[in-house]
Amino acid sequence: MRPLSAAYRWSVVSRFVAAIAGGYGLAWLFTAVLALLLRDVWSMPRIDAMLTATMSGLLVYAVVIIAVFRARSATRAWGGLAIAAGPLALVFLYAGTHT
Amino acid sequence: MKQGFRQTMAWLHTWVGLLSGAVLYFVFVTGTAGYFQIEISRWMRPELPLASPVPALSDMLREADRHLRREAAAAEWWSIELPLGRHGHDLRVSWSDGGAQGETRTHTRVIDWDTGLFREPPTARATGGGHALYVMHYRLHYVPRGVSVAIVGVCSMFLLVAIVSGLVVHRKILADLFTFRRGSGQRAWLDAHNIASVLALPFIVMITCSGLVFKMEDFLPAARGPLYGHEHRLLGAELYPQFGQPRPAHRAAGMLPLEHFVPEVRQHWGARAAPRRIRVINPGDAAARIEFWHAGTGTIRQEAREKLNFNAIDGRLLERITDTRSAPILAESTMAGLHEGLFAGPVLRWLYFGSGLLGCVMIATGLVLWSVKRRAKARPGSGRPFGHDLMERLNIGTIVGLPIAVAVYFWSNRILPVDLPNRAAWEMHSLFIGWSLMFGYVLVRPAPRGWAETLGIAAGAFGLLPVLNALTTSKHLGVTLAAGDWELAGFDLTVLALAVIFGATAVKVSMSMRAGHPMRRNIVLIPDAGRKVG
Repeated sequence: MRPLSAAYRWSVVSRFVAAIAGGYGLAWLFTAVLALLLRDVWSMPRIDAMLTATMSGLLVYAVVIIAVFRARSATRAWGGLAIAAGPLALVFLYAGTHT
Repeated sequence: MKQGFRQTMAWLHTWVGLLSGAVLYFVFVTGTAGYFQIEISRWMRPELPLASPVPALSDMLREADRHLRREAAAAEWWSIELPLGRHGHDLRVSWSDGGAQGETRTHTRVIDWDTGLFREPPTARATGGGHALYVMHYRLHYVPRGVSVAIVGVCSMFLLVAIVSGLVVHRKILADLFTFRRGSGQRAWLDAHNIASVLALPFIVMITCSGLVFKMEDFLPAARGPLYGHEHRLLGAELYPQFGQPRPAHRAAGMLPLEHFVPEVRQHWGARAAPRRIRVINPGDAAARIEFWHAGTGTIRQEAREKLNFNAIDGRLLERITDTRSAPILAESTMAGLHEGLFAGPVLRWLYFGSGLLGCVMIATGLVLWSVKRRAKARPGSGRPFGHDLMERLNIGTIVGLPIAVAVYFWSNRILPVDLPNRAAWEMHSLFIGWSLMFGYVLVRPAPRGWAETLGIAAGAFGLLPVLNALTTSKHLGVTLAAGDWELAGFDLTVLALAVIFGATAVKVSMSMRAGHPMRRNIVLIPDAGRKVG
């Protein structure tokens, strides 16, 4: 077996951090934003909004983990996470100041 | 990644499985035991009487009603716990006296089925019982709550990812199910892993998703802040609503007999449904209320959410709590109910248990497969890298060591002095002391021999439990089988069956050890999961 380079090892670590922590952060943001949307735009009772958003957030987490490892490189995986998180964070901040 | 989707998924399957395998194995072993937690708890309290047939609901209510009217006419509330569904064998009544200076005293009585009289609850040795094993499968042990939520949550998420990637890697699901090439080293381990995974696949998918949903409010509490802010308490109240507690009218009134409500309860919940608990608020008062709590029989949904509230004087239904009040609540309740399996009768319960064991086999064979592939790849004569050797030893300590530790937990229940302070905690310490000793053992023994030896120890530890039981209690197989108490006998018979499985595996491993190394041959069938991915 060929020895693995340090750069390769670090890129694997980076991917796992992106998947676990980055994925969790993205799932968190997604859940919070969806919960607010369901309550305010769809006028769902808040317990229903909470359950629906959190269940969807779990799915998002699983999909993000797979996507992070599907990405061509660790850097691109982090980039994808940032691109997805940006609009969600904006909506979350906007909703936070307007409710 | 440079390679194709399937190669990436094979790589992901391997590493996600390896990282979370040990924790998931712990979760599956203790969770699978949890499906029989009531039976295990009974075995661990041998002072309690043998099971007796449970009378009809109306008869039990009549007995409880008579006793409470006589002994607790002035109580603030009555509570009747019924031995229906998955709720033990006791018919238990309790009530609370309002003391003069606001101090309240709660009294509890349990029916003695032989005499039909209520008496003080019988005492038994202090033990965590099967419940402690069940709780460990999500709460772990010795770690703060937040840590266990994060570890079990992330590992469950990894399991979900491992399922998806495993399905991508093995497209030929049906073919895999009927493929077992025995005796051909690595390929046999691969086939065993595939068969266990595919057979139990519906269960594994269900149990992973429902477990995540069950604990999602702890694991991903992202919506709580934005939606509830400081009103955290309202979240529980909206998910598990309670009936209001009316103040007493301080006017005596005649209550309907409890069994009067049985037909209407059945009408709402179905003929197979039964209450787990009945609460009477302000008994004998004009403002008396009766609450019926569902026992979880006859419905998949989580039982805790079905409740009926009656006026105890005129018998009117005042309020009904149900989880069908919205689709998301129904979905969450169904997932939680599926995970707990409280609705399952004996056949389905054994299916849950068997599927759980298959899940354990899936994780164990997956971990073994990793080691076997590394060993097959090592250059002949160059010796094995230290890390691979260590991994294999840790695998033995996990895969065989944990069941031994569970057996030690049962042994400690019979061996520790009955009056030992903190006895229940020491039973649990025994489990972890036993597990640590097994890790120490496999670290000093050569790896292939370690498999055979620990499997032999496991066979002995489980196989001798019924003997230990017969030597230390009067609830052994000779008694339980004769009395037809299949729950208690079932424990001894199940550990005997486990002993046979461990023993047969030990013999098989030591035989193939003598015939040459069992896992030596190098056949790579799936896209190489160990290859460099960049």
